[in-house]
Amino acid sequence: MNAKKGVLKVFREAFANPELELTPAMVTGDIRGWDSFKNVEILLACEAEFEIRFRSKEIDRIRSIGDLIDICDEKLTAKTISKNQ
Amino acid sequence: MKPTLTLSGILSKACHTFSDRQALEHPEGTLSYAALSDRAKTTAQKQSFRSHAVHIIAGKQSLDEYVQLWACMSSGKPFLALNPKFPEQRVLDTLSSLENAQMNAASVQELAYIISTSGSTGQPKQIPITQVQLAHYCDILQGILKIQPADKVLQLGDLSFDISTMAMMMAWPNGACLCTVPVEHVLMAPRYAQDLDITVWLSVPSVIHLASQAGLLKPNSLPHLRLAVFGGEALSYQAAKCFSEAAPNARLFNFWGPSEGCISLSHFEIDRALLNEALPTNPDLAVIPIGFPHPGVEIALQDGEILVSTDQLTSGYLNQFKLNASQFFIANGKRWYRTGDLGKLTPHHGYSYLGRIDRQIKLKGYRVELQECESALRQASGCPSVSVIPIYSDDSTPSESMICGLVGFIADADLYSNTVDQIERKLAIEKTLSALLPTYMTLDQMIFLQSMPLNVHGKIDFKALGSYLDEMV
Repeated sequence: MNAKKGVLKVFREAFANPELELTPAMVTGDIRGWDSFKNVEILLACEAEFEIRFRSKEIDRIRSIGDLIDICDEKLTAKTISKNQ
Repeated sequence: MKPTLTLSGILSKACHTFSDRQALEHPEGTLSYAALSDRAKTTAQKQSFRSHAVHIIAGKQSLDEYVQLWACMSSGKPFLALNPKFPEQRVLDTLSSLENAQMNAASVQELAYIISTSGSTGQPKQIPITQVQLAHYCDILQGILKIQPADKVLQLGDLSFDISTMAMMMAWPNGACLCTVPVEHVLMAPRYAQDLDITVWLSVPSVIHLASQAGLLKPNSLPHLRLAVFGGEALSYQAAKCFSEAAPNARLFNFWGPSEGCISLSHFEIDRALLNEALPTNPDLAVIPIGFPHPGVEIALQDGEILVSTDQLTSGYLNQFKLNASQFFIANGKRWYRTGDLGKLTPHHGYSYLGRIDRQIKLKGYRVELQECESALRQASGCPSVSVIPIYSDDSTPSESMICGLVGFIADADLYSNTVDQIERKLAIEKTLSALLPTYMTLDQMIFLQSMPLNVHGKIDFKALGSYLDEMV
């Protein structure tokens, strides 16, 4: 699963908008209805989508869509490596 | 009552005794007591810090702002924390009110902080609290909670809300570590509590509702917690029960108090045996009591309103002479404050909080406590996050005579997205409500929300609910 595509899927479902487009610089509040509760929903949906668990230190780093994609990407790569070992 | 040490003395002693222990765990890094104190000393020497009588903190919750807070408290410089979410006008009003405040230099030097609260009129009010009061508050807190140097205290409140000062005063005088969570991820608090081995939880009850709704508060999910403290708004039985199951080893406390009384003035330790039933059998427990006054605090009731008398009371709002004259008064040689909170004295659990006086309305000739409707709605829906507001008969300035009914909001993400289930649930809730409430208090409308709107302090935003209702109309 590609992190960028997966995050886009999560956002489109969370905001019930199949046309939604994301840019890496987007932050909380940039989409109507994107508040701190939506953040929890998005993080938990990403965890379910990619079968990962965010540590609090990783959540600390998530300020924008770009940060979220990067961290999902890192975790997916780490998962693939540990599977192949 | 006098504190055992001055505020700067408390922090200086903590720095000396716990120098190598961790004082702050922040997303930008961690600081020991020695490092925090050193950085604060450098900050306190800067011209920009020294040139203003009151230090303004933007409220972005950066690591540097915590250093500034330590610098203020250890050097006797009062601070006022803003919030990036405050509207620009409110910031301007707050700053201009500070400039126009008629305080002499000596009285400013005695202050620990000035807190800006929104107030029911919409005009922000500035509340000065002295260093002596804050130092005394440290003694009060420690007498109740007995924080240990090994504790890790979760800091979720924004800096403009005095619950954040409470977290600092729990941790720092006692050598514990203050652990902060980024503002945009506050509702992930249970995850932080798990990963950081937090032992002391402090939050407004709305955080429990929302975290539980998101599935983050499963039974036994927070076994490391040994203390859980709630405050800032009414704590429902269901929220307390949900949290007690998530944190089976924690002592649970409900704190109450207005900012005018230096953070909190009473507390109630929740006996877990009281939370055994699915629903409270004693109606006094539908909202968890606020319990008994802190040492040195007197509480009295006048027409149901809670009045308090204590040395912990602010000297008065800045530049609000009329308001000060109406809210503060002298009786029997003591100075009292009208809190605007309604309460009653229960036979076994001290005082109970019955809601804000401005949330008591007159409907169809009857006095109605909206909080009582909310307790019934919570019970009938099984959903902890509910709210009830009045419906006004036209769109002019809301006044009591215009109230023509009540609307209940239920935050339930599953039901929100399923309109078929909503109809069935509404009927079932209405049926249960009719058995719980008198006819004149039944709801005229019931609205399902995905989540409850919260204000900048994380409490339920009743104004936003009113606007939502207006938009629907």
